[in-house]
Amino acid sequence: MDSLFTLFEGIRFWDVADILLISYILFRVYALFRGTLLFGILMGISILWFVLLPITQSRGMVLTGQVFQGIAAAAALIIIVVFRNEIRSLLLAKNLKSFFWGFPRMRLDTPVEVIVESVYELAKKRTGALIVLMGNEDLGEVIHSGISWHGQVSREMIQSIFWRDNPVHDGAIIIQGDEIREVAAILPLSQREDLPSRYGTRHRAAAGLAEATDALVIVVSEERGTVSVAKGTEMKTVAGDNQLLQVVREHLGLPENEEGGKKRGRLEFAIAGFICLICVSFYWYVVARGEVTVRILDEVPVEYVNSEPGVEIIGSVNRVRLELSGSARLIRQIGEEQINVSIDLGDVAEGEKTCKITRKNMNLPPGVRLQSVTPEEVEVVLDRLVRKVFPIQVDWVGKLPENLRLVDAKVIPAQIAFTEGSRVINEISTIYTERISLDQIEKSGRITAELDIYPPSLKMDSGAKTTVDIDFKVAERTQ
Amino acid sequence: MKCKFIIFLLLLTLLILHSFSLSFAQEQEEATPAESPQELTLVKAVMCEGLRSLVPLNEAIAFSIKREEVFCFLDFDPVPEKTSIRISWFWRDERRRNPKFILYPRRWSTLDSMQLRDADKGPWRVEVRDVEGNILKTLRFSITD
Repeated sequence: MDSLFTLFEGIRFWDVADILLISYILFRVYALFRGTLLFGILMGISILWFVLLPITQSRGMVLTGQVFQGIAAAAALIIIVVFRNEIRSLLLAKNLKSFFWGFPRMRLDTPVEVIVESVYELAKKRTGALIVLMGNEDLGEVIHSGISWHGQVSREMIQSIFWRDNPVHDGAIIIQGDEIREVAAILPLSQREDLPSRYGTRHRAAAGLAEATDALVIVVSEERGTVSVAKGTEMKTVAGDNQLLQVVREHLGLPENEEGGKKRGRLEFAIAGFICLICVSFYWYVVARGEVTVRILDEVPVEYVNSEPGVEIIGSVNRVRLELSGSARLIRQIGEEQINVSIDLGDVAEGEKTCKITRKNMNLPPGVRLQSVTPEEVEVVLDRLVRKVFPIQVDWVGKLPENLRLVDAKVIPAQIAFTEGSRVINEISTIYTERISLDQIEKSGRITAELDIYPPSLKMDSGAKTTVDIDFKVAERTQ
Repeated sequence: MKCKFIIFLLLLTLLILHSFSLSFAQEQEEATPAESPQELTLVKAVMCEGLRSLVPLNEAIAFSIKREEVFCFLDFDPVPEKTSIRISWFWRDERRRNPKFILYPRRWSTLDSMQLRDADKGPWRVEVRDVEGNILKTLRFSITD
């Protein structure tokens, strides 16, 4: 329980905001790019940057760390170049609301059954066909020479396009949603050597597009009347219409039924959001908070507040030494001038008191812990200020001529008032002048002298002079 | 017989004279409180280099250390009754001596002195206090080179 409390101790509001904001950004990246090749690459770079790179750095693998850094930096640039179309379509096609809040809708509008039925009718008639069902990626960079069609998907439409006498039957049709966008599209051929020899040009074209994009390509063999599907690097022959229906549904992210699909979609996003939150929280704790460091502040000023008016604080500690610990990020942000120790003397009467210094006495930021303070206690002596009038005495030094003696010295003013704490001021009875030499004195006269105010904490009344005049008299010595 | 008479007359005269003297002394004692103040009065307090013919010699407020001794002369008049005083010597605010002196009626003069050492240079003060601790006089002086 204590360790759980320690886990959350000192977490600030802004730390929570930090975690939630980054979690949401991560979640949005997932929501917008899921199912695309770009998402996979982003995940790879993230793992490289946030997992592998810290591990190599912590283990002192300098060379590997530098290579990982270089790869991650280069990958960021490569992503922008290679996936510029996807990024552009994402930014252009989606409005601001969908960018920050909306979820990609399931392609429920694709008439899957119509497509499957059409495919098997074509297979039955041994009519060759190449049908591309788009994924999330744009195919513009891969497919060339297609003829724009934009026709509603229907069994008749598909049958007629692949009819042998149709000028556009040679090539692939591109289906997005319930629309045939292009016909007679030329697909890139796969260069793989491991494809079965029975596969002709049509199959190689299907494999080539599947390898390069996230699209699903359905191939109807003209020679054998079989149906094959290509997805990614995999190409397989489909046993029947039910299997094809399942494969197409899986590709389009369609559930068995619509309601179940919505539930599954919501569940998927909820799990993704939760995983994002967990990952970011863990990373924040390990990197931002977990990196605990200790910092020592040697000269932290001590401030005494709320003392009664007319009371002076004497004999107290003015600076203390603090040893702080916490996340390196927070600790580094602390300026020495930002921290001060404040001791409330509101309930302290005149006299001596011992005050223990705790975290409550200082303005430490949340998340920063106080390890130790030196001294742990301060002795505070509160003394009432007293105004007292002191006689002024001349501090004569040197030597008069042998025949003379100093018989009198009147100080003007003879007395001066000072203010100080009663404990100090009661120990003093006289204020002396600066040292005045007798060496040059040969006759009576007047001189001006500075006061030698000691202790220096004695305060004079405002406007009072720190000098006095001395009228002195000398007389002949009687032998 | 004549000799006895002369002795008797002489004794009688002595008796009368004695009675007269006692009576005069009583009157004088009764009159004293009415004539003089009741309080102890310090009429003279000076720092000096010594005494000559019961008079302070070279009164001053600065004394050379070479004199080796400095004196405090006090003259009380009247001293209503037997009492005591203390003479406190302070170097700055540090008390160095605090001797006690007995004063006797009717008038009393006293002289206190302090041997000087090299470390005694600096400002001094002498406080004269009565038996109740009241300061009767503060004398300020310096010991110089």
